[in-house]
Order: sequence, then C-alpha cells, then structure tokens
Amino acid sequence: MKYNGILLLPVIILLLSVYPSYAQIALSIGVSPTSKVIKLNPGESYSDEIVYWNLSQEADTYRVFISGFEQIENQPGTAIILTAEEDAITNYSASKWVTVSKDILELEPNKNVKLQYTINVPTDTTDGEFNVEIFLISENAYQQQGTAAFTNLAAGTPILIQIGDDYVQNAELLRFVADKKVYEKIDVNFLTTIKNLGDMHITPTGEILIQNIFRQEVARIPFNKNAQSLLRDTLGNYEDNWTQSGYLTPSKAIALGPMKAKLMVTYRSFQPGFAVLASETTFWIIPWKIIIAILTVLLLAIIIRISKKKIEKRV
Amino acid sequence: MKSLKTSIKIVVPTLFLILSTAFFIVFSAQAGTLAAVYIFMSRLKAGLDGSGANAVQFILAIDTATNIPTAGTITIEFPDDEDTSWCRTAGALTVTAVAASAVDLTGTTWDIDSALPTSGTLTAACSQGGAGTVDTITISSVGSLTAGTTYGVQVASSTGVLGTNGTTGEHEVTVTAASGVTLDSKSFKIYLLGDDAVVITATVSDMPTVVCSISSNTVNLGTLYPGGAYATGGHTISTSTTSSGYYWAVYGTGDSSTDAGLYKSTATTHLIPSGATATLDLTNATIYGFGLTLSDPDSTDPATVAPNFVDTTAGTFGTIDRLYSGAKLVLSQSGTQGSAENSTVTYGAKAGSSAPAGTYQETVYWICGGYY
Repeated sequence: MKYNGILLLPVIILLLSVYPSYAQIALSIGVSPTSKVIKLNPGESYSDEIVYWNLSQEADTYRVFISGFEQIENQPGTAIILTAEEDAITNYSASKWVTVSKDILELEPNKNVKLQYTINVPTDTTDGEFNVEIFLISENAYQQQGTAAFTNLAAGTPILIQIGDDYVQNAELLRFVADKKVYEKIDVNFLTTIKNLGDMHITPTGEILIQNIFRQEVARIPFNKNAQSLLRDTLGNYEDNWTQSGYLTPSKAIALGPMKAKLMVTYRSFQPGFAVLASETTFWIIPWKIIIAILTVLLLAIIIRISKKKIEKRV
Repeated sequence: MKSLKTSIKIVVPTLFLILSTAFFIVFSAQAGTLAAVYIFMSRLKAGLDGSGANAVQFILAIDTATNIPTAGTITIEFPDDEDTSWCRTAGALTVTAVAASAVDLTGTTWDIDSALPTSGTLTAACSQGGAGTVDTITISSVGSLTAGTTYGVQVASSTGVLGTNGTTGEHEVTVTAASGVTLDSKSFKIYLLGDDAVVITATVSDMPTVVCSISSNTVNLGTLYPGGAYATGGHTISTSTTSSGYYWAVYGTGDSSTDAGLYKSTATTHLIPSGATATLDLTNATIYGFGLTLSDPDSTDPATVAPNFVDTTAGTFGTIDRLYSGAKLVLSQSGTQGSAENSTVTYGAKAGSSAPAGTYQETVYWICGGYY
C-alpha cells in the first residue's frame, strides 16, 4: 500500500504540472538566391543583396548568422553553418570577410526584405575556394509552459568564393553500387560516393548505362541530375534511381537476369574529358513471383496430364 | 419752375417704368449656376491629338439648380485662345448616358444619380472655334433635368475628334444646360499635366528561390506518464522551389550537452533523449525517448523522406541530434516544385519510468534550403 502511494505520487504531480497554454504561430521564409558562386581576387570588395519574404499571416523575426558551412550528412548541395568553435578553426571559412546591413530581420507577411552584404577579401588570401553562409534562424516568443516541442525555421544562402585562377580540380570515385543485389521489379537505386580532392567545389555530371546479359543497352539514366555540388575536401553520396514499369525496353531489349551498370562521370570545368571517373556494378532482376506462378501452372499442367494418362491406361 | 415740375412728373414715372420692365426682362431668362458639375477625363496629358493611344473621352456629371425642360442641350465651351485644340476635328461624337462613374463621391451632389435623360436620341458634336467663337461640345436632345438630380453622360471621339490643349496647367471650361430660355451654367478649370502616365516596370528574377513554411511553432505533446504509452503531436512543413530541388534538415537542443530530446530544465533536471539509434520503436515497452516522422509529400514525385524518418510504421520515430553538426537530412526533392507541397511532421515521445514529473520541452530547428 505504501509503495502504491509512492508510485502514484509522480503521476499525480506530472498531471498537475501540465499547463496547456501555447501561442502557436506559423513560420515561413522565402529566399533568393538559394546559393551564389563568386570569383574574386585578394583585396577585392564585392557587395550584393539577398531577398527574403514571409508567406505566413504573422510577422516573424529572424536573427542573421554568418559562418562557414559544411554539407549535411555528406549530402552534396546541402549546407549547414558551423558552430562558432568550428568556424574559428576551419581553413576555408570566409565568415570574417562578410558584413551585413542588419543583424535582425523582421519579415512582415507578404513583403520582400533585402539584406545587403559586403565581402572584403583580405589581400593575403591564397588561391582556392572559400565559403560562407548567410543564415537566418527564427526567433520565436513561444510561451514556456507545458510539455511541448517548439520549432524554429532556418534558411540560408551558401556563398562559394573562388579566389584567383590557380586552383586544382581533382576527385576520386570511392563507391558505385546498386543498393540491393536482387530486385523483383525495376526500381534500382545506384549509390555513388565521390571524394573531392581539389581546392574548388565540383559538380559531377555523367550517365549510368545499364546493360543486360546480352550486352544490350536497356537504360541510360543521368547521374546527379540535380547538379548537386561537392565542397572541397569533402566526400558526397549521390543516389540515382532507375525505375521502369515493364521488363522490355522500347527497343525490345529484355531487362531480366544479370545486369551490369556502368558509371561515367566528369567533374572538371576545364577539359572535363581528361578526368573521367568510371566504375561498374552488377545486380540481378528476377521477377520471382511471376516465375513461381508460371512454374506452378506448368507443374499443375504436367500433373493433370500425367493423371489423365494414368486414368486412360486404367480404362 | 413749372416746366421743371412737369419734367419730373414725366421723367420719374418713365424711369420707374423702364427699370421695372428691365427687371422683368432679366429674370425672365431664369439663368442660374449649376448645383454640381464635374468632367472626368480619360487623359489629362496636355497636347493629345486624339488619335490612337492619344484618344480622349470624358464623363460629364451635371446637377442643375433649376428644372430644365425637355429637348434641351448641354454645351461645354473651351477658352477662346485654345481653338481647335480641344475639338481636333469637328463632327459628330459618340455619346452615351451613364448612371455612374469611377470618381463619384458617394453622399454628395458629385455622385451620378441617373443616366442623362433623352428627348429622342442623344447626339453630340464638337465644333471648332474661330474668330469670336470657341471650341464647343454640344449634347442635344436632352430630356428634362430635375434640379437636385445629378445626371451622367459619356462623350467620346467619333467623326469628331477630341483632344487636349498643348499647354499644361489650368484651362477654364464652361458647362451650360439650357432649354429655351431656361439655362444653368458654371465655369471651372481643368488642369492638364505634362505627362499623366506612370510607367511601372518590374523584372521577374531568374534567380533560384526556395520558400519554406512551418504551420506551427509550438506542438503540444499533452501528458506523458512515467513508463506509460507514447504521446504524439505534429505540424506540417511545406516547400516550393524554382531551382533544382530542396531539402529539409533538422536538429534539436535537448539538454545542451548530451543529446537532443525533451528536457526538464528545472530541478530535478531530466532528459527524455532522442537516443543513439537511428529509430525508436516506442511501442516497445522497454524503449522510451523522443523522435519524429515525416509523411511523404507525394507518392510519385521525387520528394523522399529519409528512411529512418518515414511514417509508415506506427510508433516508430527517427531520432535527431544536437547542434548544427548534428543536423540530419530528413526530406529532399530533386527538381522544381512549382507549388508548395506539404509533409506532416509527427513528434513522438515516451517517458521512462524514472522520469520525474514536470514540464519537458525541446526546441527543434528546421533547416530548409535549395541545392547548390
């Protein structure tokens, strides 16, 4: 009895402690441009603007952050700012070069707000690519009562700043595989990992050629059709999907059995054909349900035929 | 002296008779000032020749002070030194009785009450001025006008062509409504401008854009019971983009040191963590924590929810981490998304049996962007 009271007490307190009082507002932010690539020289200054807008019914307040950025979970083309500590030690951050016109932006509903920024490149900057993101995070006045999850909205404009003309574009293909070895239907995800070894971002492009056992081309799909870029000194995972409703291509090539996929990727902005990343992978397409159904029908037909013959012999 | 008296006897009655007669002659014309009048011109630019894009038309609103009998006329006369500039080509004009205009002032006499009545068919013409005459627009076959009623009529070029004088500034016009000996008139000024059009230009940017929205900044998770079932709450996120795709990433705050999750910041502090595993099966009696799922915005489009955050298994939630470096990509799409598409975010939380009572909160940061 005493123990029951001890167990009930926290439950009662937990129930009594709930104050469901919340000020719920919607958050919205539009950004243009979504990214920017600039070529500058040491000592040069550059000014431009980023436009923001808010499509919600309430005004939202956003705080402006300036920091170097990295990719999110090795996903090319994504950006998340670094913490202050990380930004201080990274070699490629241009956050100290950038000044903005405002630290806080009040985004009124359906109204464009411009944020001017200036990039001053130090005179002693070495050639290569540096990055910075002008990043906005909402500041909400939610009431701190009750058990709840609060949400903040953040969006930014990654800026890639190329300094000088003396740079290296180099990359290595680390992986090219299909996500499974056997497929029942044609819904194949090709997983590719590329490491950028140069001092510029790269935007790999290319094709994946798929052949059947007779070396007939059954499909040709674009690699990295989003043109997602890979930052310097990082690796990126790309995923490309091949989907087809039937097992026959328009050119009557059959997409069944052992298949081979060939990847051809270029990434250099100058003479891309001299630096091709290539690889192959294999997988199987086996429509086992259809095969089992056909085999079952055949088996039944054979059994029926044998049974009929036996009956005829007896007669 | 006698002759003077005789003269006075003749002159005074004669003068009285003359003055009395004159008085009756003047007032027999029954002239008055219009109670209200305006001309609403389609263009106010000086020097319009009335051709093509320079065509001029106007709406006249008129309220007489006296009743004007039927079969009357309304005339608009322009200054004598501006001959042939208002009536660019003499001839018939198009005339239409109108019951309203865009510049009517409701509740005043400058508010058209009725279309101009006719005594047959309304006609209008403009005549050019010359020596001793002025440019004049005449509207004929006007029906009876009642004092206190504002009538409207629209006049436009036809055979006759209307224009404007070439000098900017004020130009006095006289409007007269008359029928027989009854007439009301009023003079007022029209102001012509050097340019009456404002050219507005805008450029639709070809720069890529992304628009991201969250339906609510607060999600009430209700009451959690130590060792009890999981609670859920949610909101939607929506995205549109003009560029080559979008992505959403998410990270939490938690206790600001060990993990993301629902945190009780008051004594005794406690964290309901999001956990180290990729997913949390909160239907499992031994598992507690905090996570979230997202619905696929579309079944056929390229929008993809990260595998550990899909909402296909009830009670299973993806886990999140802290800080920018812990941001996890949860939703992405390749290609343009012209109109906003929604994904429903569901937060799931379950308190362990040791969770002390109190208020638990987590601030989740949603990062949205377009691919570069």
